This record gives sequence, structure tokens and C-alpha cells, in this order.
Amino acid sequence: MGSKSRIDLQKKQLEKAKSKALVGVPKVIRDLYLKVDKPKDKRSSNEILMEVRYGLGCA
Amino acid sequence: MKHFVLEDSSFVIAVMDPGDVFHRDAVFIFKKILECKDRVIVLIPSVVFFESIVTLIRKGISHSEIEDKFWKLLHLSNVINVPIIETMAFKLCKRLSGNSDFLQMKTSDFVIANVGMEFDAQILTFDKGMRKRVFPTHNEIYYCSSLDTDGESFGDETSRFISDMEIALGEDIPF
Repeated sequence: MGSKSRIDLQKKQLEKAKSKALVGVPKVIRDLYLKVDKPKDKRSSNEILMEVRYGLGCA
Repeated sequence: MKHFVLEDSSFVIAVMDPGDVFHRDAVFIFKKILECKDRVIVLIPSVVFFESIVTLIRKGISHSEIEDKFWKLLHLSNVINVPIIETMAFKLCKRLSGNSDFLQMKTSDFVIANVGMEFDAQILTFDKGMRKRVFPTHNEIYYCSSLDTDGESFGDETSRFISDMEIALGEDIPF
């Protein structure tokens, strides 16, 4: 098998594995989940973090 | 010999927030790390706590809930909090003198790279900017998602992360 085919196969396997990532999440991880029902800031956490980290427009 | 993995604020928040766009990617990796629990130490630098707390407060999460979750994270047997001390910065400066990439680093990049290099750790982040700036200095930094990678020089680096961890641990970690 060529290296490109091998990489493609690995990508497919990874995507399949990731699609099941949220099935059977260990309790130790679920215990860390936050309740974010009514966020004060509706942007994604990552967007807010980039603003906290670098300031507006600097990320 | 233990192997070290450093989790950036963007990674920690993605694990904790089920609504985060990187949540699935982060949980996938965290599960893999937990499977190697007795051989892998997760490093959380102090700056990660500060950034994560500020971010989550701004999102509207209560102080008590943030405190509760971070205590739970700290109480995991393979997680350690790494304080930032000045001597580490001096050591990194010495290692990087003459390296032009160093000049592109921002404070948070510098601190994270600093701790990562000190422990020879693999660094997990969902901050593309940091990934790009730290990589030339410390290539064991990984953006483990296919999201938002169009036009980037890198894609989902989960395979590279797992492959490098396999080499470090000397054993296979199946998907």
C-alpha cells in the first residue's frame, strides 16, 4: 500500500474513532463537565479565550 | 520513566465545556491519555488556570462551579499543577538565544513552551496561532482537530500526537 493510501486509511480510521469519542465517556471526564445553560457571552469558549489571551484582533 | 503531556487552556476548556467546538476532539485525546494513566503525567501550568478561570467567568459560569471543576481536575492522580518560576524563563532564554522564531512568540506562547520544554512534554492546544509560533522551537505541539485547518500548513495532528506518544511509551496505542 502506498504511503498516501495508508495516510488516507489512517484518516478514515481516526474519523471513525473520533465519531465515537463521546460514547462511553469515563466518569472522571464527565465529572469535569460545566453547566453552560445560559451563557453570559454566547461566543464559543475558544473565541473568548483568544480574546483573554491576546486581546481583540490579535489572535 | 513517566511521560509528560501538557494541556493548554484551550484544551482544558474544550474538555470541560460540552458545547465547545473542540469538545469531541479533546475528549477523544483525554480518553487516550487516561488509558495510559500510570505512565503519563498531565501538566497544567499556572497560567492555564488563570486563563481558563477568566474565560469561564466571562462566559457566565459561576465561581463556585469553576472552583469545583478545577479541584476535580487537580485531584486526578496523574494531573499536576506546574508553577512558573523565573529560573525556568532564564533557562529557556539561554536555549533560544539566536533563534529568530523566539521573537515571534507571545507571552502565553513563551510560558507554555517554557514549561513544555522543561519537562520535554507533548503540548496539546486548540490555539492555531500558538501552534504555529511554538512549533519551530518545540515541535512536540499538536492541534488535534480537523476544524478550521483550511489553508494551514497542518491538519488534524491527532495521529502524530498518538504516534509520538507510542514512541515515548514504547508501546502501541490503538485508535
